[in-house]
This record gives sequence, structure tokens and C-alpha cells, in this order.
Amino acid sequence: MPRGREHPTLCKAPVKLLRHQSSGERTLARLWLVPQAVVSFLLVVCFLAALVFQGGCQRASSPSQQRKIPPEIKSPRVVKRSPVGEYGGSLRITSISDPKSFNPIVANETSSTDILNLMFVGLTIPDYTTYSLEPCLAESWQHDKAGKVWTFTLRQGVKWSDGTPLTADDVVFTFNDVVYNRDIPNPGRDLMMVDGKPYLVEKIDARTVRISLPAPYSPLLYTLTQPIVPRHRLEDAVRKKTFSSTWGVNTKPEEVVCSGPFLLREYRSGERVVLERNPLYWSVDEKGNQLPYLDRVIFLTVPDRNAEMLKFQSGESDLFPKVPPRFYSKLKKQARASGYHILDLGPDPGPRFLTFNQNPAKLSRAKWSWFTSKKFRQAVAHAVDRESIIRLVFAGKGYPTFEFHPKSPYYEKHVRQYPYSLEKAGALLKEGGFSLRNGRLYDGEGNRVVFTLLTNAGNVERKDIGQIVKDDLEKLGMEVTFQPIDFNLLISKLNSTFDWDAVILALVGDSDIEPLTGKNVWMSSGFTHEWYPQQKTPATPWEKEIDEIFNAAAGEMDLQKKKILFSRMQKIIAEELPLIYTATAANLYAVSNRLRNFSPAELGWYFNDVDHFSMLYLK
Amino acid sequence: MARYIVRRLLVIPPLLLGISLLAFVIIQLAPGDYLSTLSLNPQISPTLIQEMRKQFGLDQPAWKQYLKWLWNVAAHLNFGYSFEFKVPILDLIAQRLWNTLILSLSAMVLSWGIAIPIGTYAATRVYSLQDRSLTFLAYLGIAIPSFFLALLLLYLAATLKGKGVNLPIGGMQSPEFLYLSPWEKMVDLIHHLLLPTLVLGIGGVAYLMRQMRANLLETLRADFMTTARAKGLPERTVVWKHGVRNAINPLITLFGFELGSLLSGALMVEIVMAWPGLGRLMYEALLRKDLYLIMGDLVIGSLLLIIGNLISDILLAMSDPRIRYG
Repeated sequence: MPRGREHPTLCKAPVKLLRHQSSGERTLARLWLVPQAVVSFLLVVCFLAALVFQGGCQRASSPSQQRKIPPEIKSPRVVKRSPVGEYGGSLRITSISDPKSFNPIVANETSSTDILNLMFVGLTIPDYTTYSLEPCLAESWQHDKAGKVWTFTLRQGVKWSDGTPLTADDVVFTFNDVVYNRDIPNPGRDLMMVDGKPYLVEKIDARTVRISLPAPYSPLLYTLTQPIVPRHRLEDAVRKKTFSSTWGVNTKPEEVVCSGPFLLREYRSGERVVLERNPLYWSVDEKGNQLPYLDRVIFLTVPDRNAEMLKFQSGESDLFPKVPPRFYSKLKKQARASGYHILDLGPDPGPRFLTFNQNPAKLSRAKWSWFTSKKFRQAVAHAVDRESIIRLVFAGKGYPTFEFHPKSPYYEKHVRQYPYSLEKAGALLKEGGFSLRNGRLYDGEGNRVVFTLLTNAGNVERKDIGQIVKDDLEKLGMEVTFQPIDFNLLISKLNSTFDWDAVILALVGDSDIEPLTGKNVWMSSGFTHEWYPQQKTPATPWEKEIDEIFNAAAGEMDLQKKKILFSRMQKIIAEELPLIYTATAANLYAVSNRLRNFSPAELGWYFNDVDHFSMLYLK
Repeated sequence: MARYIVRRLLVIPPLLLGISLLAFVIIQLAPGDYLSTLSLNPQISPTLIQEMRKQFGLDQPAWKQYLKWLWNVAAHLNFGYSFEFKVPILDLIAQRLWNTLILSLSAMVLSWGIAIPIGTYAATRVYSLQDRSLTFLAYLGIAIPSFFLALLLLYLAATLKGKGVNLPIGGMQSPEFLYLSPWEKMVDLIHHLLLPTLVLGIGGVAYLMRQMRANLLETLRADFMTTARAKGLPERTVVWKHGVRNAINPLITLFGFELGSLLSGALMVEIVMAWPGLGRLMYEALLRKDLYLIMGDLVIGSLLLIIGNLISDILLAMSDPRIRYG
């Protein structure tokens, strides 16, 4: 401490002067700012002001000429999803979550799969205008009469983004070494089992793959949308048993080799993902121009929906998907002045419902007898005021939901309906042996109808719906305790301890295009058959019938007959009401007027519609 | 001094052990684990969840999981894998650490750079109009929660956008950052730093300025100040060299605390302003119950806090010769 000697404490001791000179001190104790400091301070202020007013750096997208696909692709896929467009532009989309992995096999949540969908494609691809499955990496296929042996011919000249040809070896590798590999837990596998056996996938020659099934299986083409991954890049990881952590978010972008319209260019955790057009992509528009039109797609990670709204309103993003209805009127007001428009694509896919526990394991006898009574559930369905839910929870921008989306090819309109009517509800309860005394509902044995309604606390929408449902049911004389609880606690009640009465829930899934994906919800042995999961044998005749429908549909190759089966299923569930459907938000998109060709399918998530995406462009 | 530092360093491992154990126990007490969320997806079967549980080691008893983690940390400095991202924890933290440091340091420079001159100014004009208005502003600054101020400024920036003022709505870089020249990159970064720095800095200014003012007021009344004036020193030297240097000692302790909270202090601002820092990573890990990511974050955060305190103690000893550690 060499400077200690100068320290003022050393001159403290001997001197004793006047203690305080308040007024004099104030005049004396002036503080002068050094001139140099003033100058540098002003400089900094000027610099910052320049930043504030000038703004950051904006790069205009480069205009570009017509692009042709590589000549070795003899039969490119012609995409007619949207009108012919123009090249260029980078599309900025907000997302409230980072991707968790760039591995298309193990990724299991939408913030990763949304991005991977644009990078990896399968043998087939859904056409979102007709909801049929069309050729993709496979250019054509044949099958034998029984529908058990399928031969797929791969498109000629298709290359991975690093220039290596994509061959039958990659397809065989994807199925045999990855998807069916017991060391690699992945969500695709379950649906690719027929009677508990995997598909037999064999290479015939470099462009031909044969898939043999133990029995005819109608979801086959749907399951072949499974993304194909490059063998030459991933073989080692499979051998070393590190596949699940391969292509994690710490991977260099150029190592993620893909074959879809876009490829990974940059990933910044918590900030953004930048995709660039794949110059080797093998699809064209009607005029033979190579797709995609966009140069770049940039996903901006933002913390929440409010931030998405701000970004969109200030022009920092071009697309605001799934606009929460509460923002609708505010957005609508500024739409014209700010140069954007809002699309309403009807109900958001995916059922939202209320369900009662029918599992005898933990319920009291009285509760079990109410919840398994069809009349009781039908009365509740009549008492749920969906109009109020739409008006109060979704600001008028909502729709009632059903098991299938009204646009689904499997949707059946003519099923029993449950319009809001307390009289009908009361009459049904009476038929079910319940009686109303002093405004309180009692069952045939004199027990007061009292139960708890649960939902997960994190979801504001469901909390509001629960409140309305509780009020509705109390009008019938039931005593309902509504309790939003922690999500994980709710799950453990539903899936392992079974000590719950009623719950408000939504299930994710893609059952609108391939209803068999819903088998785990609907078959009595299913694990998300929430009202009574994993039954050994069906508990009721109608559950048995639904089981039979799913088993029959799995082997039914005739689409018309499959539709008839599922229309029967919808009639059963509308009658028996294991799930009492409520309402959901409208599927709203706010879109900048600069973005052209944006017309997403009403069914399904717009990222899944790769063809639609590859034809977007910005003006 | 050296002995003191060694002794302080020796206390760190048991302290971290205690912290990690406590954190682990608390995480275990909450219901469910990372995989619970997946079990509601009809496309993910219980068998698949069992396989994943086994892969993540979540099927083993909690004490075994903890000991295994502890061994990996102690022996290999391996903080484990994130369930969610499936990559090593240290990779994830390293990605974010730098961002948080940039923000915290720039906020620190701002708050110290403003607070000390203002505090001094207010103390030398005690109970004057300037002092009172600065005090009022300081209380206002303390009273406004940072997340609220952040939201307010974001809305302001969004409203003023296209009207001459062009400030980014959150984030750290422009979407096209990758395609910019190095100079443009720097300008872009500073441009994005303005608002979060302001929010984070203002809270600090208010608090530090009040501290500075109070300390200096006390010092100004000390006898040695009178001595200094009596021996004819110019007022500037009296205030800055004798007054401020003495008044700043308690602030050095605060500085140490701030060093420790460099990584965690910006949490709210990071979340609201979409700053890709460590706080946001931690927050998301908590929501998803990404066990080892939470543990890694906590241990590294605690380590920094302990080291920050140590540094502040050492700095204090260096600036004030009256303080001696034995």
C-alpha cells in the first residue's frame, strides 16, 4: 500500500478547529467539472443520440434472377400449392421458445420441429389442400394386392446439402438403425409398429426401397413422412451410441446436413435461428423455377406473447402466428395504417375438453357412479355455456371444438349436439336418478354431488374456462371446487395416482390428418385414455366398440370405408361423452402485407406445410 | 493477507457442497420431473418415457443421482447434460455467460459513472433544491421495479418507432447480424445495449447515489476535512481527494456484491428485454425442471458470488490501510 502515507486520516489527529461552518462550507464546496470530461461526455451523448435516431443497420435483400434446379435431377417435384412468385427476401418470424435440438429424430417439441420441418423431409409429404399423402423423396410407389409389400422409387439426382447423393442406404439407415434402434428413444417409433412388429425395410438398389408389413396398415404413408437423415453423417454416432446428443444446439450449423428447402445457417441461443435456402433443393414451381423463393427464414426468440406483439407492431417481424384473441381488436385497429392484415382460419386444431375420472381405483363409490353415468355427463355437456366461454375468454374470437377439426376429411357433422340448456340438463339429471332439493343436487342414495375440478395453473385460458364451467355446473346444484394446480402435479394425478374427479385439459396431436395417431387417447389400453387409462379389457361396451373401430381402421386401405369407421366413432363419443368438448381460440395470423402467397391450411400447423412455406416471398 | 485469502478459499468447497445439496433437495421436493410434461403427449408412450428416464438416470434414487453428479463435478468438472438440449451444461452456460457479462458490466459502468458524481454533488449541496430534486429522483428510481421500467421503455420504443426514434424492441443483435461488417456489428450491439443498460443502470444509480451522498456527508463533517481546508488546500482537492476517498469505502463492499450478482442481477431485464443471458436460461430451466442445468447454474452463480465477496474484501483492504486481515 504505497499510497497509504498520503492518506488524509494521517493528518486527522492534532488539529482542532471550528467544528462546523455550514453556510461557508456550502459556498466553498463547489464542484467543478473538468473541461475534458465535459467534452468526452458530450461526445458520448452525441454518439448515443445518433444511435437512437439513426437506428441499427438494415440490409436490403438482394434482388435475384431466375433459379434453375441442378440438371442431374431428372424428375423434379412440381409444387402447385400457391401461385408462381418472385425470389428474395428474408422472412422474420417470432417464436417464444428456442429450438432444443437439430436432430430431427429425437426432437419432440414444436420449437424444434417447426424449424426441422423446413430442413428435413420424408418419402411422402401431406398435401394440405386435399389432406392426402403425395410423393416427396420417393417419386412413386407400388404395392401388392394385399397391401403388405410396398416398393418405393427414390427421386433421381437428389443430393444432401453437402453434395452427397441421397440413396436407399439413407432410407434403410433411418428406419433400421435409428428409428427402430432401442438405444434411441424417439416419438416416431410407436406409430411405425404393426401388431407390435416393426416394418421390414430393405434396399433393392440405390434408388429402390422395399417395405414389407406383417399386415396391411393404413397409416403407412402417413408414417413415411418421417424425416430421412444422412447415413454418412450419423453412422458413427449410432455406432458410438451418442446419437441422441448428436446435432444438439452446440453443433456447427454446416454439420447439420439436410435435404429440405432450407438449411441451417446460424443459431444463437435465446436470440434467433437463421435458415438459408438450400441451393440443392429439388422442387420447382409450375414454371420450372427452383424453390424456395425466400433467401432466408429468421426465427426470433422472444420471451412472451406481449413481446411478439410489440415486435410485430413495430415492424421487426413479418408474421405473428397464433395471435392471442385478446390482442385482436388492438391489432385490427392499426392494421391498415401499419400495412398488415389478420387472417382468421377457424378453430385452432386440437380438442379442448372437460373430462371426468371413470377409473374405479381411487374414487369413492358415489363419485364413480355419477361419473360413469351417461346421463350425468350429458347433463354437464348441456350446462357448459360455450358461447359465454367464447365471448369472455376469447374476446369473441373463438369456436366450439369437437374431436375432429371441421375441415378434417374425417369430420362427421351429424352427431348428437349439446346446445346450452339448463332445462335439458336438469331433465337428464332427473332421468339419471339425481334430485334437486333446496337448490342442491343429490344422487339416488342421498349423497350431495360435490367434486373438485382441476386444471394446470400456468394456463390462463383454462383457468378462465374453469371458472365459467364451475359457475355453470353450480346452476345445476352441484358443488364444484375449482382448483388450478401445478402442471406436473396434475400429470402425476392423471397418469399415476388417479386421485382426481374432473379436469379441464387439451391434448396435442395430429389426429385430424391421420386419426390413428389418436389411438393412445381412444383405445381403452391407451396411456392417454385419460378418463380410465391402460385398461386390461374395455370397461364398457362402447369403449370396446371404439377399440374395434381402431383395429379395423388400421387395416383398412379404402379411404371411404375408413371414413365410415371414424364417423361411427364420432357418433359414439358424442353419445357417451368421455370428453366434454368446450371451446378454443380462433386460429389467427397477423401478416405483413409484404409477405405474399401466405394462405396456410386451416388444419394443422403452418410449419408442417413445407410446400406452402417454400412458395412464400416478400415484396 | 495471503493466509487470509487461502483461508477464505478453503471455505468455498464445503459452502458449495451445502448449496448444491440444498438446491438438489428442494428440486426433488417439487412434484414431477422433466419427463412429466411429455407424458401428456399421446404420441409419446410410457415405454418411451421409461427409456428416456433410464437414459437420463432419473430412474435411480435421488441420493444416487446426487452423488453421481457430485462425483462428476468434483472429479471431471463435468456438470452433466441438459435433458432438454441434450448437450453439456457448461456449453450452454458459456454461450450465455458472455452476454450477461456485457449487459451487467455496461450497466455497472453507467450506474457507477453517474452515481458517484451525482452523490458527491448532492452531498456538497446538502438540503439545497438540487439535492432535494436529486434525492426525489433517486427514490423514484428505487421505487420503480426494473421489469416495469423495461416494459415501459419497450412500449415507448415501439410507439416511437418510425417517428424518428429507432430503438430495437428487445434482443441483443439484429436478425441480419451475421451479414454485417465488424464495425456495423459493434454499432448494432451498442444500439441494442442502450435500453437494457438504461433500465438496469437506473436502479443501481438511485441506490448508489443515496449511499454515496450519505457517506460523503458523514466524511465532510470529519475533523480532518477541516484540517485539510485549514492548511489551504483547494476545495476540489479537499472534496475529491480527502472526502470522496474516505466515503467510498463502504461502496467497495457493495461493488463486491455487485460482482457476485453480475450474472444473476439482470434476470428480470433479460426476460423482459429478450436479452439472451444466463438469467433467462436459468428461468427456462426452472420452468422445465431441467435438473442439472438448474444445478449447474446455481453452483456457478454461487461460486461467482463468493468470489465477488472475496474480491471486495481484498479491494477494501487495498483502499483502506486501516483494515487488516490476520
